[in-house]
Amino acid sequence: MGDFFAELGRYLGSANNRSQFFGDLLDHVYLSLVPLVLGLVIAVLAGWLGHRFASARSVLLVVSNLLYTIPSLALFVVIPGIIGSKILDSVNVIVALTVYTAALLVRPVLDALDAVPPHVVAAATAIGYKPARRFLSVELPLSVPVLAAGVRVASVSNISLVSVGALIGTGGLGVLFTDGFQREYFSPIVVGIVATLLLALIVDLVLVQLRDVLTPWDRVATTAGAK
Amino acid sequence: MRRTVAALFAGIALLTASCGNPLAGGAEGGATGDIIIGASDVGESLLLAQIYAGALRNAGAENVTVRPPVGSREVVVKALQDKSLSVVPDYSGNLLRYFDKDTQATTPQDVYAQLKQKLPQGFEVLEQAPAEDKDLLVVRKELADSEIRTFSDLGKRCKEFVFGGPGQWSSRWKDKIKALYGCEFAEIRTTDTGGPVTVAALKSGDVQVADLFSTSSSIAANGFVPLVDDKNMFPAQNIVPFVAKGTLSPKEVDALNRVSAALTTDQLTELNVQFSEEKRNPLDVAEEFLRRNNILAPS
Amino acid sequence: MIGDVLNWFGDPAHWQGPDGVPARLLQHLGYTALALVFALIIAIPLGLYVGHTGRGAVLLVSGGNAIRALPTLGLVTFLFLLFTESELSTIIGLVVLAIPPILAGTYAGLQATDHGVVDAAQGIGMTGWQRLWKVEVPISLPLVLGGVRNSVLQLVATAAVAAYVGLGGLGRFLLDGLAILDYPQVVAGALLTTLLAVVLDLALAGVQRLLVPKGVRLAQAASGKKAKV
Repeated sequence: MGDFFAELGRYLGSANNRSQFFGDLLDHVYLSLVPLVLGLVIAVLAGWLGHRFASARSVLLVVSNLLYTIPSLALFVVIPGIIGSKILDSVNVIVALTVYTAALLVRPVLDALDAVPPHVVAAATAIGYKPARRFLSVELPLSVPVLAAGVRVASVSNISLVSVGALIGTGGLGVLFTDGFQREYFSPIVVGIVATLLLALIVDLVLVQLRDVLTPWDRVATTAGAK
Repeated sequence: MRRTVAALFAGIALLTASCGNPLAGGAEGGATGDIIIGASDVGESLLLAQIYAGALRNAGAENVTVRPPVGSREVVVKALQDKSLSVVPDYSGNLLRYFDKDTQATTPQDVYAQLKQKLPQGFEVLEQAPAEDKDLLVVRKELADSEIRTFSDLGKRCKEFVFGGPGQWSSRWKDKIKALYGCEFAEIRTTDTGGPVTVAALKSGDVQVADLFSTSSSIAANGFVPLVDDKNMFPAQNIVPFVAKGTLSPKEVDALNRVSAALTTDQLTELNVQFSEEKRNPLDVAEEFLRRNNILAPS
Repeated sequence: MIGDVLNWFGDPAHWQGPDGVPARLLQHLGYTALALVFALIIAIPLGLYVGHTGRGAVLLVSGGNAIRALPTLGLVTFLFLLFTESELSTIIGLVVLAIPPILAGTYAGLQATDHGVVDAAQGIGMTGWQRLWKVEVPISLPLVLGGVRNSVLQLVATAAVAAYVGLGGLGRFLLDGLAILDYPQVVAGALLTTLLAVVLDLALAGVQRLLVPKGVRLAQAASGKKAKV
């Protein structure tokens, strides 16, 4: 056990190892967060469609369910064929993870929009909000708590999945796992696992903060209640 | 509220845009453009890629990146074709076989000469190194002790054994080994390309014969015995830079030729030991090699 | 391309022997089933205990989240190096990854049990055990099964990734094909893996329908959170 920590120290002691690690980490952050944002936007748009048109709703639910069922490696490998990207392009991972994120978030968006009390919607319309503005200013903000929960799950999922991309040649922390495996070397693998977990934790904390910032009325209600 | 959300989205968008895509390896390489060095899934390939990178940077190339290992030759050729890669360290024999499946060349000179002939438009190879990393069929010591020393010895008894090797081994060699040595294995199993799965399988006895590579450190480390290829089935495998035409300037070509001239089999084996057994960082190993051979100025 | 893939499926050689579709499919199912059984054995009692008594809930939730965040490739390579053996290490990894969804489902299921109903059950004299098996379990079944479905998806996907460390199964088509850019093989592997996942998911959905008492099904819209694999 002591050997293992000594070796870990030696691994981290090399400047080249550290700089490669930080490069991989940055790639990883980019590859997991961009799909999160893109997927959320797509899910919101799709959810609005499904909320508005009942026929779209059932189609959306079935399609998103199906997409979500596709195993990760399977989706990663067929995307270059579908979107015609170059074989080594990292865009393949981004597209795949966007698909997963959107598929995951469609249902929470629908549920959240359904949960907006009708009298609130009515009141907004009554004081003159056009549908688009009403959606952006009233329904969407009220959906934030439910959406945030979904986004948190999606973020953990994305951060974990980016590593699989190493099998199709994409960067990110997954490179540490393939390297460690090929050389029968524990240190990069352990560093990679720990870094992934920490990244997931930090992003989760940030998302919680974001959610709280976007829902100030919850805080006001609490303080008012406390009085 | 709207302003906050809008500001947030704008902020994220700005951040993402400014960071750019750190993995924008899709850039076209030109003679003075980005040089992207690839590596196949043999660990030593990554080492060689780093050595090339170091030499190229030293020759004044500015944007040199090494891509993470992506799989074997087929992927690499495609990437060179669409210029997502500029140069890849490759092995003369296998490269020739890729473009001419029926080649009979086996010596280093013959293989290299035919390779230069058979390369399609858009590709070229620079000078080859004396260093070779050939396929070896290895067995555990116990089997070698029971009088199997050469491929010919093995040939008669192949039926008793399970073989473990890379996924492409079957399509590349199954017929040839039968034709040349009368060898038909009881089972040909895919393990990996001379990596830990193959080593583990041979060690545990799941397979009795494995395909490993001659400069690999795992052969000596595990006490495996390589068999002698008495009829030269496996051709010469000299290390040679495989280049997408037009991506390297003459000065850069020269730098790589100097690397090749300095690379011997012994040195390559030693590099592998440093990388795989001593677990040193590939950049460190590459740098030391370049200094030792006066390609980089001594520090 | 589609033609090539169809040709691949049409080639009888691809359906025979240890590298054929049936063999690989069975292997994949085997690993999934084996890991599922172990995961069920561990996760359900644990979830029942925590859900019923309320003790250790925080630990359970954070532990589950931590495991969900584990990168699958990292886990399988780590375990392979530890045991230097493809199958054992992968099964362990699969079990570990399959536990959180089942655990979460079981726990959430018990949590979802309406306290009024439980109180009523206690009021008519049911013991703790009786409350558990006659009231809480039937009501929480949708969520538990939801967790199981989630687990199965996780298992099918991870078993495919584990082909990297030498495991058999459908992932072999994906990775071996990818190594030589044999796209028909790659797509075939992707299709087969997806089909397996979809079929299993539908089958479990069917089981869910059958097992859950109709009244419960109507009363509860199960919207369990899924984690992608």
